[in-house]
Amino acid sequence: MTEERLRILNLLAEGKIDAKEAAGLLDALGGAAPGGASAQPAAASPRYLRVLVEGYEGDQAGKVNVRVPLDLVRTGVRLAALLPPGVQEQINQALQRNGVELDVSKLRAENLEELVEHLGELTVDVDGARGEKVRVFCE
Amino acid sequence: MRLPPLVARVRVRTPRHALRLWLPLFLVWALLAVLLLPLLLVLRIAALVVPRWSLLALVRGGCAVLGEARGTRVLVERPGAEIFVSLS
Repeated sequence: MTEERLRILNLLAEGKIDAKEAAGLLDALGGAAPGGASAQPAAASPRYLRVLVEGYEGDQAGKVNVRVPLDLVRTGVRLAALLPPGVQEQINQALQRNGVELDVSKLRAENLEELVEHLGELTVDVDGARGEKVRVFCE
Repeated sequence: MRLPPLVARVRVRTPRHALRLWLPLFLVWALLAVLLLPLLLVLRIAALVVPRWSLLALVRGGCAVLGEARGTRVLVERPGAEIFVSLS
């Protein structure tokens, strides 16, 4: 509790000011949080998807650093809904051939919002045996 | 709707060369807008033939993807070489 607040409460306890005056004085001190620290702003929703890769090609080390706006991902998903059903089927088959079990026709922007919301709290770290690193997170 | 990226910055560095480019994409969009008008007409006719196509939705979707691409950055590095692309 700040010194000013304590002084106001002491004045109230001593009867030098009434409760109404004390409340006014406390209001005048502003919205400072107890302890003098200002209130922390609410955590902003993530705006970018970051992918950091450190790896080796032969003996040479390499790095990839990608920053993609999450809005672009959202828009891409909405655009996927415009694909004709035949094309969606072909994409699904191609994904399955590569080991990805995903039905493009079931992608919805609402689901993505939920995913993005949770991605903000998630960091994927993969460390390889040779020092390769992959890090995926939102910021 | 957001504007598409107006400027692209490209940096390429190799052991022998170094290149920095500042590309005014807004000029490209202006030029494309003129050049793509005939293509839009063709697409409009195609959309009439294939009713499943929603031309307006496609164009809107394409513009939205372009608009949301602002802020994209890609950096690929290896010893002695680097490629960096930024859309803003």
